[in-house]
Amino acid sequence: MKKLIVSLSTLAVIALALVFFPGCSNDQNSSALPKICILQTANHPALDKTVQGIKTSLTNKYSQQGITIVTESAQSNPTLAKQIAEKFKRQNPSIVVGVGTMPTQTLQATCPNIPLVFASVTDPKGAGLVKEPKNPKNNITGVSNTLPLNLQTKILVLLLKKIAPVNTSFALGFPYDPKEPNSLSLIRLLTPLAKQEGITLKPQAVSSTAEVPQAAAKLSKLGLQAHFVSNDSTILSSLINFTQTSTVPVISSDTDTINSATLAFGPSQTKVGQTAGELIISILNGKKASELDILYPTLEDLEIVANEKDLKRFKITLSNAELAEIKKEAIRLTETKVDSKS
Amino acid sequence: MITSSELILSLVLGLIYGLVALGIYLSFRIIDFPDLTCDGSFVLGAASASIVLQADLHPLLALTIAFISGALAGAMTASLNRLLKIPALLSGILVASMLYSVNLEVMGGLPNIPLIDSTTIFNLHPSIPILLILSIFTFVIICLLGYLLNTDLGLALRSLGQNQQLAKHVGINITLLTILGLALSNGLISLGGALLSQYQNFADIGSGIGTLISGLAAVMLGEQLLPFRSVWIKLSSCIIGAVLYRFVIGLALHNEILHLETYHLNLIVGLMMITIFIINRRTRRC
Repeated sequence: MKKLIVSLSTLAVIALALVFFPGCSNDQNSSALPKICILQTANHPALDKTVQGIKTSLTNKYSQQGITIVTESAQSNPTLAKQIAEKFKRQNPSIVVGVGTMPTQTLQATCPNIPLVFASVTDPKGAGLVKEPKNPKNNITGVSNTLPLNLQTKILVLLLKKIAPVNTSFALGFPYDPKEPNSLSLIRLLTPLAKQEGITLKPQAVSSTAEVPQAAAKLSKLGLQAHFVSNDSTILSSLINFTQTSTVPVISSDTDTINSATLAFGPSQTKVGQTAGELIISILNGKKASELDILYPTLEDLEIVANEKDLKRFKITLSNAELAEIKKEAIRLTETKVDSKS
Repeated sequence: MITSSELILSLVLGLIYGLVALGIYLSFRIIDFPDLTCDGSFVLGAASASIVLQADLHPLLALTIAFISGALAGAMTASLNRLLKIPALLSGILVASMLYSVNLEVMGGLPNIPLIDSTTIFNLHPSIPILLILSIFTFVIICLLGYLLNTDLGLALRSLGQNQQLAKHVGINITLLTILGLALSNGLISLGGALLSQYQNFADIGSGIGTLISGLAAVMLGEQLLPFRSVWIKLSSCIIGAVLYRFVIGLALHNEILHLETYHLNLIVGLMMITIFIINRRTRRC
């Protein structure tokens, strides 16, 4: 009996301590500054850059003192994401921001009454976030991180022609992590488009950064002309390792990663973050999230860059003028295609 | 700083992870089998339940199927160990890592299935609070488990963990009971995964990370705080441990008042767990 009393009282003491210990601290909620709460999937270079972009555009507008920005990482764990989202809800933020698919879904389920802006979600519709990209309705808007796919295909063809001028058809390695919704939707959409241009996509699943060198070695045996790396957390985290192991050039769709790839094209993740930051600013200025269309990177955001040092390894020379030429050509091809369709 | 809504969330998550703790208690404590299948079987529950829900079938059917699929995974681990003589730890690791591919297959190759438009156990009757549904659910499970562990079959299961040699001598079929025990254990863990995905409105292939750690932490926290021999109290202490563990995380999330960075979270959780163990030891001694 004595044991039971001791146990129960210990439990009670711990429970009370847990509830009241933080009660004595004061809440920072009293200030009238706009408050932005950002939840990112995990800490890795591409997502960190996106978050950095959001912060830059907000502090440019409001200065460091004029706005409160809270950033949390869900450590890739949906349960932790839920707890963080609940904490955010309590802090009465003006806007919550999800960087990545999973945190955005969690925020949407947890705080339906707070405007939600997302960044770096490849397929907002497939993730169940919105019914339609135009006029999203559910108090949610955001920025996708992918360029139009036909543009991506055109750039890939033009780059491949420079890499392997004698070939008429190409094989392109595509390492991806099967737990990334972004990569899977990309494979599904890109495969048929690439086929039309004579590119065969060879996907290779890699479920952790530790498996990357083996995957690169295996892919290199398939007689490929190059690898294509999309917005995939696992691959991007170990991109330098992948590129070093690879025997063919690596093309990345994130220009921020150029130092660890051979060639890169796309909007930079910083730019994606800045665009999301602009959406946040319009909401703070009184617009409703549901009135703002979901944005996709535009042709103007496109950059193509090369890593000279790595290109030398493959005895390829690509001058800046040539890169600019490829960019112009890709845009021209894409636009004429749109015209002929309409 | 921590609010009632956060307390309720900790309770809800604690009750869901309480099922995981019960499963881990069954394998690690009752039949004394170091089972590492749970990181896989948790997601298997989420995956199988979500495809049932996507087909617009009843949420209770989804939970049943989640339980059965988890049980199969557990039975697989036990069979590898008992029939093929693969070491216990390795059997669990093998099944858990194989389940990663199986789970993706179940989810149709997608890493994330949204359940926003599906009828889940929690929005079947929107007037009933989630906490009440989960409390009833947990209560029923504890009653069933407590009853089971006091039957002849349950006593045989418990004898497995107490003294396997003796159990063998009195004619208990160890292979069969290990399979049964692990099936039950992983069925419960899988049920936890199914409930979590319905609560969060999506099933995610990454949700299994750390299931074993949080489950074991819950079991041991419960054991520390309520050191009694009664099976009923032991079962309840798993749930209490799980809830307390979620409280600790919820509280540690407020580490900004100590001017710490968000990535210090795990450090704070660890330190708080250590503190709880120390306080508990001290009060017990005097």
